[in-house]
Amino acid sequence: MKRNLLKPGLTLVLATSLALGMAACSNSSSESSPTPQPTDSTQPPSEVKLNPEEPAWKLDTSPVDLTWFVGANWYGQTWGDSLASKYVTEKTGVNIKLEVPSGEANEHVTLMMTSGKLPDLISMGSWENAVKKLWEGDHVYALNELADQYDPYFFKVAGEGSLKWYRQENGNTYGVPNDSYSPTLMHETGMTAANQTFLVRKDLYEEMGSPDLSTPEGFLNALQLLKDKYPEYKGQPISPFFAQGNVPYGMTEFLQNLLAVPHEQDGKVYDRVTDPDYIAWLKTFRTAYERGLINVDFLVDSDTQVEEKTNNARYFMMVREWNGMAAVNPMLAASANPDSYYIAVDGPKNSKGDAPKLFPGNMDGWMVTMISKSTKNPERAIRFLTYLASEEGQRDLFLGKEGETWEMVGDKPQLKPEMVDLQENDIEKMEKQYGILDTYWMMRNPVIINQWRPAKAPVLKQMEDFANERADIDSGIYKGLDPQGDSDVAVSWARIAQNWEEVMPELITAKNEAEFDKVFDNFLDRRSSYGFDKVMEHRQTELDARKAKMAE
Amino acid sequence: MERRRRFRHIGLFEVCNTLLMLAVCFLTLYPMWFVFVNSLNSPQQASLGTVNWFPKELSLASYSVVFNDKTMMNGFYITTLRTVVGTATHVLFTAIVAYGLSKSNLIGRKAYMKIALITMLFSGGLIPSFILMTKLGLYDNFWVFIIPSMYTFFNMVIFMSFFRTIPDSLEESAKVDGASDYGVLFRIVLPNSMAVIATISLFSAVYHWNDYYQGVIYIRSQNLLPLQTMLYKIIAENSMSFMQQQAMAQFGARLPGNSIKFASMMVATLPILVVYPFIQRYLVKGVMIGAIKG
Amino acid sequence: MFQYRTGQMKALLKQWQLQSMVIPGIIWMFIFCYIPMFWLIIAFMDYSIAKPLFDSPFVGLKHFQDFLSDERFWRSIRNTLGMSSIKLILGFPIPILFALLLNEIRSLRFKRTVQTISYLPHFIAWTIFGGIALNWLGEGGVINQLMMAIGVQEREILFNSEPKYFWWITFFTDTLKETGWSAIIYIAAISGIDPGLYEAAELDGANRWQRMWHITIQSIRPTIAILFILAVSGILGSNFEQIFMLKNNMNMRMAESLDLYIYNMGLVSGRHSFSTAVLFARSIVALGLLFLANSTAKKLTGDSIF
Repeated sequence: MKRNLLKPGLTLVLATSLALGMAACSNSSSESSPTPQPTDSTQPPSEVKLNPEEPAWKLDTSPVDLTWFVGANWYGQTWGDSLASKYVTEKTGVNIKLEVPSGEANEHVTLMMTSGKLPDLISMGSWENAVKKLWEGDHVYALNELADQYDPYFFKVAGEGSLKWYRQENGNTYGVPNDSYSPTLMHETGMTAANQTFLVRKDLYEEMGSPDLSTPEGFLNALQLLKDKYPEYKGQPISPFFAQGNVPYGMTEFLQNLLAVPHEQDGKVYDRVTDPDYIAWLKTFRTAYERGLINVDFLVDSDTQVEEKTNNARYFMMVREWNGMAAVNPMLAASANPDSYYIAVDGPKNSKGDAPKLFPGNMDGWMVTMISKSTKNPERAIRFLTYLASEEGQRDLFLGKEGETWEMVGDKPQLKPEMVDLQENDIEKMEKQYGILDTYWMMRNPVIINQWRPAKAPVLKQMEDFANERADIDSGIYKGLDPQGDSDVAVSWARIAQNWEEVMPELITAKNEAEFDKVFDNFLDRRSSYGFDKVMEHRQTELDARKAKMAE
Repeated sequence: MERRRRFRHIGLFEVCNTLLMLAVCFLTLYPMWFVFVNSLNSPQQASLGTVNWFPKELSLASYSVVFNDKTMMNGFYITTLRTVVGTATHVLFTAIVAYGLSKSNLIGRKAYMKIALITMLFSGGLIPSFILMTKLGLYDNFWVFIIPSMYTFFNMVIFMSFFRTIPDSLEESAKVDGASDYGVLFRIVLPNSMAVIATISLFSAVYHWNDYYQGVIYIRSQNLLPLQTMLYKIIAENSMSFMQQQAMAQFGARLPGNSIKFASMMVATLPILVVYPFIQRYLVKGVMIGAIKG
Repeated sequence: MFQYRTGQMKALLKQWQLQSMVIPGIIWMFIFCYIPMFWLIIAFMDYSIAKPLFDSPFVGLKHFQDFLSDERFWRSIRNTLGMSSIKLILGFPIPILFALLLNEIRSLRFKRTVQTISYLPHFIAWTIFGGIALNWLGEGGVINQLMMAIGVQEREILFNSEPKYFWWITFFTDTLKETGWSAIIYIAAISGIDPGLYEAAELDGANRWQRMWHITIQSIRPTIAILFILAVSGILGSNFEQIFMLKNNMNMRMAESLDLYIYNMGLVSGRHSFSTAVLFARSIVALGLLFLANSTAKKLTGDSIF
């Protein structure tokens, strides 16, 4: 603290900074040039002993500090206070200092890049622009090169699939994902990590006689019944409908998946927005609005308003990922109206009545973890990541220490009952004191840890099963084909997507079908003037590239 | 007769004005009241949504969470420190510059004013500032709160226009007595400018207290984070991109509850609120003139 | 020539104390404003954060052409001007009026209490304040209940879903939040007025309104002028946090201000050059407006910033 307050030389810098300051602008780049290659004196003498069958972290367990940037500003865990983190530090000698941005992770990393000083380890959302920039700007190590040099065991545990998935054109892989699901694996285990569901409030739905919601007619009839008989239910006003992430997600991609709108036709990327079934359903929503059966609250409510309505079970039906209900549903089931929780049922379907084709988990996963070139200890960093990716590391962080938080039951490790109890009743204490389960998820590998997960409450299981059954395992490859970043085609797409967000409400509130058609046609015209062809081309190229990677 | 009519007229005005002020009070007090009652709501009730007038279940649970949070208390310390140091340096530095610029015989005054003016309108943006701070050694350094905010054009102009209203005769007489420019500034001008000093101090103190942005951008060490940056983190779900929110829900992360949010806000806001009544004594009619007369 | 120079040098040396007050300020501005300003050059480049500055190619006015030919840019200009005009024309006098009326309150304690309470909302972040406003404007909110009670409307309106209300919502919420705060500067200015002036006026038989007009307003006129000039030069700006909180897909076409446009079309996708180009253009316009407002004010009232 004190040292920071009285940083020596600062006044001097200020007094003489004219020239220096000038350099600040023009020289910014030289600072960010790549730091020394790993082939320097840091190389341990024990290098000869490297064995691809044996994790290398055991070779050196002397204490070392690594900073780890976690790109999620809400992440509030610390390292070193909880049992699991202490255990890992004792074992490997690696002490972690977790760093969390106060603002947006993407912005933060972008700025750090310009200054050339990055934390040792960086985990951030795989979709963020900054990830690509880190790779292009040579700010992070190629993990395969580090592994070759310091810990070949890495290749054994990192998963050939995800290494290949993130391999760049130059043949290097710069990051490892967490929560990444490969199709083969999903087929094998039946665990698809699918989240998308169509939910209704159970007691209300059943009291209404479990109406059909899968056809436009049934949907409208149910809404009419709701309006006539249940504008209020059990003392609360009811909002008929909600779609998560409203226009760009819930009413577009998500709804299209419920309607099983194809992603591809005859090897060509399909323009899903123009699908007749999808349009028919948008028109159904328009009709519902015209008849006063739904309001536009689902298009304008703020997150806080949505949360409030959800927590009070004020929505009748929702196009929503079930994970978002993980805290709410048990709470509702324990409330004064124990049947007011949400269940997954068949929602809107296409005219052929096909089952939904929901997104499964995919290869991208959630966050990618990288080792920055600013680190002084690349060899300890790669060994630590290898350890965390291995079954042993996964177990140590997910379950904690044998005998204290888990024990062997038969040949399977199992959490102690008091831990399971803690997870249900005081999850904060569990995280702070024990740091197990999902406390440190940066390197979480679902394939390994899901076998140890305690069973879910029935009110959650029902939704999860629904999603798993209807997941289209092979459709993970279609997720996020749209161009991102600052390229011309990405700008075109941003323009189109942002325009669509404004057009959708106009469609739903259109006075009649003719106006609906007019608004929609105008959108299509505008879309092509913004350069939609290029976007389609980009999607196609991206899809072909992904297929090639999968086929390897 | 004439007098009585005027009296009645004034009475009506007085009543209306008082009523208007009461209405203003009601409208402007409500938002703070809203935060206050919601901070007292029990966490279970708070999860069901906000309340408008009174807590459904009175509870101090959220406050005990906030006060037991060591990092929050450290943030409190940083914020207080930067507010005190930052306000003092800002007022001093800006006042001196403004005094110099308020003199019409200052050689190069026009050029200086133009230079100052441009700074208000043009800025290179975040990236070059970030690079600059890094080069100056201000990144992740307490002084990043102080030095870059030592001056603002707006406050400089306020100071300057105020200094110009001080009668020249006052300064002249001091000069005749042999005082230097600095002597005049510190012994005559500043003591007679308490109203404007109080106002600018208030602006600066409130800025320093409320500013979260410097902390978001330039601070990496947990122990240098100001309170407001932490608060920003707690209440800024809205600034999260949809992908982030979705990922959060999907992978089972949790956010602090509603009542904690509001309790943190109360704790972070109350101390600065007392500054104003303290400063108000300098905003009483005639402070400056009275001082000059005396 | 030489003579002239030495004369100037002498004069400069004579006022070295005054100069030494100003020059540190100029140095400060140079370091913290002018050095970063150099970066505006990326408005003419295709800058990529992954590369050193001068590895990026110069593209001339490409980014300027880009936004000037974008209909959405012009829409955002319209919205910004709309919201700013309301704020300037209707909003600018409100804190002055408030300060004047407050000044008429006789009880010192009541005056101070009102003053303190009125500036409270300034301390509530827009994320929270906006949330309260949305509650008021939404289903079952105060406004709807009020309107239905007095019979102005028959059924609930989601005010925030109607684009036509958006400018007014921003105006009213901003007024509610910032009036007390903005009034402080006027209250301070009023406190500088010599009480003797009022006494003299009262002896001359001036009534309340005459005193308010001839003494109070005339005395704080320079302050008003300065703030007005600054407000005029800022009409292409907007309160980003406020708009970000209140906007949604349905009111977007009236809500997207220039700031929001820069955010949506530039910053979100990391287009630094594009954003800088828009900002640069805006600064130039603001500079022009500032000179215009300043010289107009100088002519009309004799008050000005420079």
